[in-house]
Order: sequence, then structure tokens, then C-alpha cells
Amino acid sequence: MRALGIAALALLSLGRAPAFAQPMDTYGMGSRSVALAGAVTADVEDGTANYYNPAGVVRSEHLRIQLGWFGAVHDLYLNEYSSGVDPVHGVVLGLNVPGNIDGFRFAFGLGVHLNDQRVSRTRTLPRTRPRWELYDNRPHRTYLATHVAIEPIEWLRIGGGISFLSYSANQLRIRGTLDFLQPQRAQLEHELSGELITIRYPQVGIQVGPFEGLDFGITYRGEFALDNQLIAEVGNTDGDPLNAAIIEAIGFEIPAYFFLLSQSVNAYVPHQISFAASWQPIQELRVSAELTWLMWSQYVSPIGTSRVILDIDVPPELQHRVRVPDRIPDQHPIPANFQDRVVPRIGVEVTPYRTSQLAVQARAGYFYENSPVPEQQGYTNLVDTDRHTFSLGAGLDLLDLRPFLPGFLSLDVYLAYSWLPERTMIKASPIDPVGDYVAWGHIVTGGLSVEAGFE
Amino acid sequence: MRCPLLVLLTASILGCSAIGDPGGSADAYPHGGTGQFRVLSGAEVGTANGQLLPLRNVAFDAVMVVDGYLFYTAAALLEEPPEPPDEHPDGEVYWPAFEPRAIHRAEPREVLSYRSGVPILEAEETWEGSALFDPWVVVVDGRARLYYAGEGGIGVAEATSLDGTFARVGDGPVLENARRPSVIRGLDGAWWMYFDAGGHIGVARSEDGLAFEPLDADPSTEALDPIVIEGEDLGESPETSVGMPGALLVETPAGRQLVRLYYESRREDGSTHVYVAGSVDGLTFERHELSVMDQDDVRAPAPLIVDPRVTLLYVNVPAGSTYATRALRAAVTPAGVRFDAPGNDG
Repeated sequence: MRALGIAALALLSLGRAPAFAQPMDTYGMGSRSVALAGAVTADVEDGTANYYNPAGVVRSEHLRIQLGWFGAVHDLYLNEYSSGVDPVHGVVLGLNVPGNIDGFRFAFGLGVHLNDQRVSRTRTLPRTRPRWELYDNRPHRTYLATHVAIEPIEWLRIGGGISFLSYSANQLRIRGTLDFLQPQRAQLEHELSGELITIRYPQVGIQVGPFEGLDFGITYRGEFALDNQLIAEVGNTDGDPLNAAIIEAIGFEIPAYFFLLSQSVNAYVPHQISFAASWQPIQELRVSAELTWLMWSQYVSPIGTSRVILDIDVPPELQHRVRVPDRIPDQHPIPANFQDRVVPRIGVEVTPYRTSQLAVQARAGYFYENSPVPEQQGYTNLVDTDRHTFSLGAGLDLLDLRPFLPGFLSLDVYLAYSWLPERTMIKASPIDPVGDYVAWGHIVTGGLSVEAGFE
Repeated sequence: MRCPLLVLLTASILGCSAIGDPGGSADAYPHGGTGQFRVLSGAEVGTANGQLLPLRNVAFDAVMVVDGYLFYTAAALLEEPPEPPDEHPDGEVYWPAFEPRAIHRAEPREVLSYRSGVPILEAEETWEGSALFDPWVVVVDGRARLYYAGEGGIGVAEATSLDGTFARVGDGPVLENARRPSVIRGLDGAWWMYFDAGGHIGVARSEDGLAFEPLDADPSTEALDPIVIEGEDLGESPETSVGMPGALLVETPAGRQLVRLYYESRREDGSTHVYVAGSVDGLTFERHELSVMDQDDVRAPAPLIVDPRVTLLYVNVPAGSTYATRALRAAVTPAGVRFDAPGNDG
């Protein structure tokens, strides 16, 4: 076939892109909490309780509004080549609104993480394309969570709520004629429609303070997985000539039909349970530690299904020149075989200076994430390594701002460094199309926040 | 304004936000050098037709490239060449119309194309017969060692440098009944020579690169077995023979050594394709299930690693003349890599 002529063409595509998910699993939320390596589940009470433990929403008697900014820069490599993983930065908002009816304390909370580059990003990559599974695309999400918490007795707080996610369903229909030799003569109609569909997952938490200076906490976050589907169709099999795709070639009109389905799981977040303790032996020192169990073993592979149908009714006169495959094999999901991950975290906060008007805090933290991704010996290349994260932070509490502010104002900053040590992937096949590789890198995150507490 | 400090801080935080980001892209992805190769265009190699070597009234055969120099087999058309007989196979150079067939060396003209070369070694020894062909050059401590084929087997010549004068080493062939030597160094520290053994690919080993001992790839049989090529073959026509190997010793980023072998796969329907196979031990190979190039008549692959992820493959393809001469083309994997000839903005 030397040329394609005028083709009647109808294209339908359906793309579903997640609009809300949570980057906090990777980077944490809020300056104080991240500086403590996220080991705050036992005693968190600021706006970040809306992520770390909804029970903490009711811990403080102040109405608290927190606004912060955070940024993460990835310096990730495969062999000596940068993987070009995009930075992530955005605004963090936390709001805790306490109430009290006849001594029964309760509170409402709202947590938001809003990326300022893009609300959401979806990628469908070639099946063998190496990808930093936990950093390349997952953080490009927006997070929204609402919670309610109660304090039935003085030493017990219970909170729960819903994190809102949404994905978009987009439909694009193109219909008309397209002359491949003279594209300026194309006559095409385009229709595009899209809608955001909300999905939700639960988050619950408990804080227990049985003794002065000693707190325990537990948090559960639900699982979610978003389906990413793309359908493209050229021509139609309904028998309507107006919907048929016609290829004109060297005097022949050839009916044709093309169908593509690509389906994969996107933005998976596993079930998570955190167990935490916080100990404040003296007023100036707080030590916290926790373990988070992430059930990555439930992960459905991001390497999805694809199906292609190509049906071209080649006239006998052209069959010696045009070869159309009888069948294009379907591609099926490849199990990810991830392993569960247990993440230890420790944080230390000291208050070297404190008066009735001012308090200064210094913070440090560390957490270790073992990679849930198995050795990539075969077809897939889901890249990940272990991760050691060291964090430092500082806080300044302005405790008496009357008459300007009937409450307090907290200013916090942090800086965290993640070291991703080298991980070598050795392929089982000596002719693997990607071959052996070494993955490694660094991640630097930083942020600042301001929180106002109103009496 | 009751709380100017709070307002100022809030504005500062929001001001840190930036709107929009086109997104980054990777400098490069790892690549095993085993996928589909894309034939370089004329614009990439700096010639009108994409051929790397200008040949007029010259027949040409297998090549190899080392440190910028192209070594190849060629012979000039006789003043009164005989006509090919009717039964002469399609695509096969009709060598009786060309002589003398000798080893040539060409220098680069552009980045990827070459000036017409000069003969550096012609048949002289009795065992060589009337033609030399299939050059393969290895540089050792600055000296160039040329492995070549004559009618009686594989011989060796050396020069003080790649552009020096080659002189034969020894009185006879280092390996008999073989052609297309392809020599690598490094696997177990020895010299390994893969060669065309007439329908299959043999391998021989040497401690000094001069005295070669054929290896038996399958000791379970009494015969001296060629290399074993395993794996699924999705070619449309059944494979009838293999040959003309081009070998590479590759050290992967993980630090292990692999032998990667490109070779001709001749098919029952008369087509000749280039396949690639890989091996950990140099004896048993796993083949890629598809040919690395789509063309039906591609021969004598000679691989060259450009960088750890880019591999060039020099092949000869039909040139379409009365005597079925061949032309030199180059292909690259990953197929998305593009070369730009000097002065070519595209």
C-alpha cells in the first residue's frame, strides 16, 4: 500500500484520571510533623491530625488554622542517567474546629494538600519502561480529608472520617474525513465531555493518654486503587456506512476497523495501620516513635491489560502486498508481587527556651522505608529502593499576641533529606530489552507553615 | 487589619506556589541493546542514500568498525566481467566478476560515513587461496590485531596501530574450516572467537589470541558442538541455518559480563534476517524471539557499542545491480535515538 487516501474516521476515547489521592504517604504533611519524621500519631493535635490521626483533631481546645507550603526535589538515577522525576510542591491546609456541649468535647477537621503544578497526573507507560513506582507519578495528586473526632473521656480520643478522591471520565469523539495525503482538507467534528466522579476511603484513629506525659495512638487508613482506562476506536461495526472507516488506496476503498483498550491500575494506596507512642519525660523534651504497616502485598499490578483489534478487509488484488495480522495477542496484567512494608519512625522535639510569651523548639527525626518492590528480574521495571530519611526542623510559638490575636501563632520550618541507596536489578534473561540496571538517588524536601490557634 | 503578621505570612506561603509545570523527562532509560534496530537515514549519516561507504563498480562484504576505522571486504569489477549464470542465487554477490577480494580500511568522512578505503591485506599465502574477507580487528595495548578469513580458514595479521601496515602472524591459519571471525576479550580473561562454521556458529578459546582451541558447547555428545541457541523463534519461515556472527562482550551496570551475539538467520523462504542472542557463559545463548530488523535480506551484522545504552549495527543490504552487489547501512537501538550529521539542523 503506497498511500492512504480519504478515510472516514470515528474515534472514541475514554480516559479516567485520578484527581485526588495522597502524596503525604511519601512526603508527610505539615512542617512540625515532617520534622519529627511523621512519628506524631500518638500526640498530634495541629492541622496535620487530619492526615496522621483524626483523633488528634479534638486534642486541642483551640480552633486551629494551619497553612503551609512544601516542596520536594527528586534526584533519582538509573545507572548514570537522571530519571527526570518531576519535583512536587504545593500548599497544605489544616483546619481543626473544636466544640463542647455540656462538657462533651468534639471537633471537626479538614485537611487539604493542593499541588500547585497540576491537580492530578495520569500516565500509561509502555509495559517495559522503567518507572520510579513510588515517586514518579503518585505524588502528583491532591488530597482532601474531612474528619470528626470526640473525646468521650479525658484520656481517650477517637476520630474518623473520609478522604475524598475523584477521578475524571473523559470522552472524546472525532468523526469526519481525514485525507492523509492532503490533511488540510480534513473535515472533522470533535466532541469532548468530562466529569469528575467522587470516590471515598475511610480513615480512623485513636489517641490514648493514660498517664501524664505518655500517649499512645493508632491510625488506620483505607486502601484505594484507581482504574485507568483508555479506549480508542476507529470505525464502527454497527453496519452504518457513516460510521465505517474507509481507507482509500490506489483506487480501492477498503473498510477498516481499529479498536484499542488499555486498562491499568493507577495511584494505588495500600491499607495502612500505624502504632505509635509519645513520651514527654520533662516539659522540654518529647520523644515519639511509631511503626506503620503498609499492606503493599495487596497491590494489583500497574502493568495492565491491553487489547487491540485490527480488521482490514484487504481486496484480493492487494493481498500479496498488504499483510494484516490475523490476531494481535492481548497483553495481560503482570503480578506486581509487592511485599508488605513496616516503617519505623522516631522523632525528638526539644524546647530549649520557653516563657509565657514565647517558645522555641528544635526537632529531628528519622524513618526507614524498606522497598516493597521485589527484584525486577523479568519483564517489568518497577523501580524502587530502600529509603532513609533524616529530618530537621524548628518552631517558634508566639503565645501572647493580644490584642492582635486571641490565641497563639506557631511558625515552623523543616528540611528533610532522603537517601536512596543503590539497588541493583539483574535480569534473568541475557537479552532482556532493558538489561541490568542500578537505581539510586536522593530526595530533598522542605517546607514552612504558620498555624494560628484561636481561643 | 487585626493581625498583619498572620496576613503577611499567609501571603508569603501562597507566594511560594508556582502555577504550571510542563514536567520533566528522563535523560535516558536503560537499554539492553537487544530490541528493534532502526536503519539510519541519509540525513543522519550525511549521505544522500543512507549508505555509509561510496562504492562504484566495487563489490563489498562484511565489515567491522573499531575506533573510527572501517575494515571491510571489497573487490573491484573486472574490465570484462563474466555474466552471472541463471542459477546464481538472488542477493548473492557474483564474486567471479570482481577481484581481487581483499581486506580494506576506510577512514571516516563524516561521523557515520566513510571515504572509500584502500586495500591493507591481499591473499598471498597458499592456504588463503585467491581471496581474503571477513575482517575483525581487536586493539591490544595500542597494537591492532586483524583476524580475517581466507579460503582455508582464519588467519591473523598485526600492525603497530590501526592505521599502520599489517603483517601476517604465523605461517598458517589459526583455525581451519571457518570464516567470519568475531573475537572478544574478557570472558574468563581469555580470547573467545565466534566464527561461521558453515550453517552454524562455532566458538574457540585462546589464552594469547593466536593459538585457538575449539570449544564444545555441548559436552554431552561426542561431536564438537557449535554454540547452543535456545529460545522461542517467532520468525514466519523456519530457520535453516545461522552464521556470520558479530560478538560483543558487555559489562552491564550491575557488573556482570554478558556475550551478545548478532548473527544471520537464514530461512526456508530464502530470506536472511539478523537476530540477537545473549549468553552468560559464552556457550549457551538465549535468542531474541524476533529479528532485530524488519528487512528480508540483511547480512553480516557488526555491532558497535556507542555508549552503555546505544548500540549501532553495521549490516550489508542489497544494492541492486547486475552482480547483486551489497551496500553498507547502519541501524541503531534504541530506535528512538537519532543522530544528526554535522551541518544538519534536523
